[in-house]
Amino acid sequence: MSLPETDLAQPGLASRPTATRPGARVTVGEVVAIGVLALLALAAIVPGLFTSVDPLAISPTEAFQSPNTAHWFGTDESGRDVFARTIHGARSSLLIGVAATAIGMALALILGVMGGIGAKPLDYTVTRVGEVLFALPGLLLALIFIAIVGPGMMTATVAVGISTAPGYARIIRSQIRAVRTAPFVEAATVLGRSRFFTLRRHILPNALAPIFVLATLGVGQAIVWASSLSYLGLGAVPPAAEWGAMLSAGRSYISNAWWLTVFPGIFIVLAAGAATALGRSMQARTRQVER
Amino acid sequence: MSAVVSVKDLRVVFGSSSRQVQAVDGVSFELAAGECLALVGESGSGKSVTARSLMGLAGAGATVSADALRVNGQDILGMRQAQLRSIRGREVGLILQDALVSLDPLRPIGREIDDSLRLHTSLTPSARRARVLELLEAVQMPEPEQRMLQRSGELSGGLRQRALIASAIALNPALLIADEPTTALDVTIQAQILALLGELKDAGTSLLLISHDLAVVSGTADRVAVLQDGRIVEEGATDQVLGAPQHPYTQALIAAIPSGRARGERLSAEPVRKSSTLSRPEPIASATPEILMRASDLTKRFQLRHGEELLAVDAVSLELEAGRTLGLVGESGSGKTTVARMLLGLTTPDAGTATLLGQPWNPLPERERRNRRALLGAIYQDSLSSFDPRFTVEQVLTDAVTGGSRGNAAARARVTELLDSVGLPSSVRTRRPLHLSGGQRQRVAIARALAASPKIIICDEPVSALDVSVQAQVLDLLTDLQSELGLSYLFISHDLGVVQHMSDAVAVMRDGRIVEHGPATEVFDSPDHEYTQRLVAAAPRL
Repeated sequence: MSLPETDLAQPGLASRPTATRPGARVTVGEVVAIGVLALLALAAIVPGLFTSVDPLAISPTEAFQSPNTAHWFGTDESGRDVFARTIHGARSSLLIGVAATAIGMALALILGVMGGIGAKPLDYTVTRVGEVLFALPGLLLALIFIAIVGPGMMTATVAVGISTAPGYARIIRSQIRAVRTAPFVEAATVLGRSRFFTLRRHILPNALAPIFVLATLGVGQAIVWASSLSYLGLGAVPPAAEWGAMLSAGRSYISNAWWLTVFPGIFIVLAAGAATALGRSMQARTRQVER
Repeated sequence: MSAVVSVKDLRVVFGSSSRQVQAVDGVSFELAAGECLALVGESGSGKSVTARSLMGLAGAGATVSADALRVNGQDILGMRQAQLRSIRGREVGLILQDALVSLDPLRPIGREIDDSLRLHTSLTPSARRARVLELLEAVQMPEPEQRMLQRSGELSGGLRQRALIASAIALNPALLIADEPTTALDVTIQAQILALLGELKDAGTSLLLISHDLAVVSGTADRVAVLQDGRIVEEGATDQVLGAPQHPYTQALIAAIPSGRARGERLSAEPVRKSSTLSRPEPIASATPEILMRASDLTKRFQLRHGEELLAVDAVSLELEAGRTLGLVGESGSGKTTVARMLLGLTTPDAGTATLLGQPWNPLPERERRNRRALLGAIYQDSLSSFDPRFTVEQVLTDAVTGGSRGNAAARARVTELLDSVGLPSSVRTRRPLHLSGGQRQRVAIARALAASPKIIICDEPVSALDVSVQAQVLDLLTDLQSELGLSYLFISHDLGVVQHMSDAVAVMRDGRIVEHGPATEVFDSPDHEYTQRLVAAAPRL
């Protein structure tokens, strides 16, 4: 499962819009967002770079230490180092975020393309099913899936993926529908291109380009959702180092050991915020290029 | 008579110090009461910015300076926003090109016109209503009582423009600015709107008329100022400027007008292509030219809402001959484009057939048409949207040359040849059509249409979106290519001057029917049908 990390750290994603419009400058916000994501990705891939402490090593004598020079983020009820746990937590949190988005996108692609290019009855069926799923809050859909399959990291990931799919599918379908009737698709017909060729060469690339930007936005959301599921005890299970699970475990001690919840919380906000900020600016850039 | 408008050394700069654009560069003019001055120039010449500066609407990021900028003796430059707002509508009325965008689509036009009365006067609601009716009558709106309750989307283009004029004159402004007021309208409607503006002028309103088309302003304007790159290069009485233009730019603009110009006569001063060794087109001597495409009784109906049916094309028959141009002229909604789509095999006719080189063409399954598509090229009005937005010019043309596979050396050579043949420099290869000018885009479209060496090119309003001088270049290019390659054109346009200049034969369409069909000279010089007579009479000419 090395794919998600490379996906996230891929510099091409961030630099592509700049390449199409050389004049556009990189803003401070984009630099910060890319920097945060790069550091988190690094922590996810080689946590040893940031801490040599074992995130699972317990030391009851050192329990509930507030942040100090030895334990930057303090220690938890079993004396585990919160900093080490937060750093190691990046792996599962980011993995869930990226993998869930990838699953959601893959499902959405199948459904959206079916609705977008399929015959009327197929489009009708896909759209109606999508609308029914759309009516349910996303997290509820994830909960239903977990209730059926049972909790765990893997299920949480798939659950978040499934629950985001209807939204993406809907966008993909309407994108394809819009591009299908575009004058340049007709121009391709006049040039004697087959339907399959036009679909592959003109319709899909134009319809799907904006979706990748959307996926970047989706990663931020998926990280929050995955953490929420872990917090509810339905995702990663203690003692695994995962931000949502850490929040859940630290909740009981929130009045006298604030560091147990605040630091993982900050990291959730950082990761989701950076992914969202990056997605937004990519969205703005592609719009600039188009207009 | 004191000047209503007095502009002295107006300068408008856009952008900050690093990337400045001088849109208006020292423009001066005066406009007396009841006088009409036309500002004429191409896109980017600064004519609209000049006029908008008179309302304090030069635009975001604009720096306006002038020795004098006065309307009715009031200094516009020194005004605050609140003062400018009170000027707008009351002292200066503005009419824009497209009333569909200028009017709120969700409100009845009566309410729109009432707005300025409500904001600027203390009239009672019933008095305002009476005034709105009076205004709609003044702009010759048919059935004003009912129309005032309709929204702009429910009105035709001409009626919308009338409503917009009514709202602009609601407060009897001393100055009316009309920015390309008829560009979006059909010729017969254009003539009516210009006549209406002329009446307003005669009633004492000063009129600042802005257009890229000298022929449009010639009937209405008392004086003409020709703008180029933000400067007035020539100004004078209309007859004088149009009859004996002094400046080479004015001469080029006048020469570019196709109306009344013989078939094959050059419109643009500069050669369209660097190495143009082409001969002038010669009259086709052969008595029976080869018929490439024949349409017989093409008919198409469209289902509208409420179960109504629109007979868009009604038994249209026409023939396209090798090396010749058939002009198809008609106003918007006459069915021209639907005919083009049926000939292109994009729309299946409900009745009738089209044949290509004697073989069935439409109706026919696309599969059986595909390998003969190379015989037929197409150029569209909005060429930009006919290119894949992700593609560069090179990719667009390589795709057209190779049929979609990857380019090789032969394909590259062919692309170079195509670019040469339409007079584009090879520097455009790496650019996207979005970043090209309208004329360049249309050349790329022509190059793409030529890629497969077609015998016929269907041109659907190919120059309607272009400035007159650019239009002249594109028309000259099409003429050159025809004589060089023996192409057959179906040339569709709403512009009679353009069609007359380009066509050997002409078909006039109205409400889906061809009402008159014959050699171009006959149709235009002695139109038989009453509708053609009206069209010819309404066409603006110098």
